[in-house]
Amino acid sequence: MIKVLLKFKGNIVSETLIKSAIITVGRESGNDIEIDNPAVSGIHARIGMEGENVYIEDANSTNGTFLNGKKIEKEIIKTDDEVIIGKHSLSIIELDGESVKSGDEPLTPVIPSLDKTMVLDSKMQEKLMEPKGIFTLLDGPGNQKSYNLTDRVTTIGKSSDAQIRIKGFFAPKVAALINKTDKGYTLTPADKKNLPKINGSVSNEPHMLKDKDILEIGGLTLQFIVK
Amino acid sequence: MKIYASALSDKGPFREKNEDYFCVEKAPALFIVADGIGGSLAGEVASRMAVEVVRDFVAEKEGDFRDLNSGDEHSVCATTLAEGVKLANSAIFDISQNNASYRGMGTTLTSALIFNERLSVVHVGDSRAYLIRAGCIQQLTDDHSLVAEQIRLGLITEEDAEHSTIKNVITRSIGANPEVEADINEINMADGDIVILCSDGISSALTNDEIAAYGKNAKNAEDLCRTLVNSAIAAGSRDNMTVVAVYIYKDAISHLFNSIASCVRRQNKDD
Repeated sequence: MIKVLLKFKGNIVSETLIKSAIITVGRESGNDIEIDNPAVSGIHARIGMEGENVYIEDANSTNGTFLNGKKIEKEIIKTDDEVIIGKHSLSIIELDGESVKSGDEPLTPVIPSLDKTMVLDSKMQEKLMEPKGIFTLLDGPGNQKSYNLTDRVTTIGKSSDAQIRIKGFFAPKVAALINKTDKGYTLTPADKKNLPKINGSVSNEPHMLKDKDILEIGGLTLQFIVK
Repeated sequence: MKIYASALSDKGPFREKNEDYFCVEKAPALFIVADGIGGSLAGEVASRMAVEVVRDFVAEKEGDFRDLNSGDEHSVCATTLAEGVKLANSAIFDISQNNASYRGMGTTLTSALIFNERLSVVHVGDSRAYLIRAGCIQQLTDDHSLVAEQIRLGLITEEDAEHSTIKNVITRSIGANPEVEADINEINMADGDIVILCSDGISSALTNDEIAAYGKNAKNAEDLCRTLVNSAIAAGSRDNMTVVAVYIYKDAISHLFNSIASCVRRQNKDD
């Protein structure tokens, strides 16, 4: 099943399942997806299925239909694509049983609509609230381009047990530890002779990592990102 | 990989009886500390029951552990431990509901399972698990306590928490409700790691840095348990105290090196 999401300023306004071969998008009532906006034509576009593919076709609208920023006549749309009609955007999601396919990462739960009051069960709530930290390698001879901090403790060091590996004869086996606590990610320097720099200043105390912090350690420059 | 473990439980100088319970199992390598809650006999019963239910459940499921690539967020070991905790919760809740003398009983439980060089920690309540790696101490559990919640919400600081009068109030326990959610944490084991499980009789009397320092100077797991209990008593702990200390050696040479190094440190200290 394919669902079409209509969004305005990032918020989901409506969700429409493609139940028939063709559905229409437009300003007039009677369209399957109605957009009440003067920039939108009476019948503005059609969305349909061709085999496995979902396509969108402009219905000779006044202001045009845009796919990923390009004006189109008729084009196949994928789950990552964004269709713009007037000031609204359309995107599709595939519903496969209960799971939602969207690119390769079904990791973040889909939040239905933020304008509506909703009740989250506690498990979902924890998943949403839980910060997902990653380090991306900006510079230096790292063993990976980015590091997901999924374990409770991540080690930075020369040790073969370290997830974030540093090199050099004088590099410590363990230079720092990152702890994923319920308050966030804490970085603790473990080697007094090889202290890390956080945002340019040397730190010898545990540091609560914040989004976009820059960490320099053992020849690596890493940026902390919260997803 | 070699694992050396030791445990010690002491009722402390102020308590009539010991409501803590623990287990140390070889195969699979399972360690549990539980701190019972409830009047008369109930606390003792709850902590012991919880440990035994989880221990027996893990022993029964050990055959499933090979299947490590479950594709889920957590390993089979971790989810098995969490299932065991749920089972213990139902068992204790049922008894407390159906037996007046056990009404209101409950327990904390902190468990650690090592399999294929991976450590799974599953806990409910405020008994803690620590990792000492390269002399640096890290908490592997977040307390399910009122003060921890207050810190998380920014109402009080960590320093305020040290002197809080409601330090012993926990927000989650095994046996209080029909359902319980356990926290799961996992890490890979590294050579020289020390894992400590303890009840709050230890962790509320000693700071993390003090525990790290004792870990650095201890001869072995047994010595560390003894030192932590004695230090907690000296620091005025009024509660039952239980410690399990686990030493990880990935190769024999590092084991030898570490024991020589700690002997040398020990001698220097005695001089």
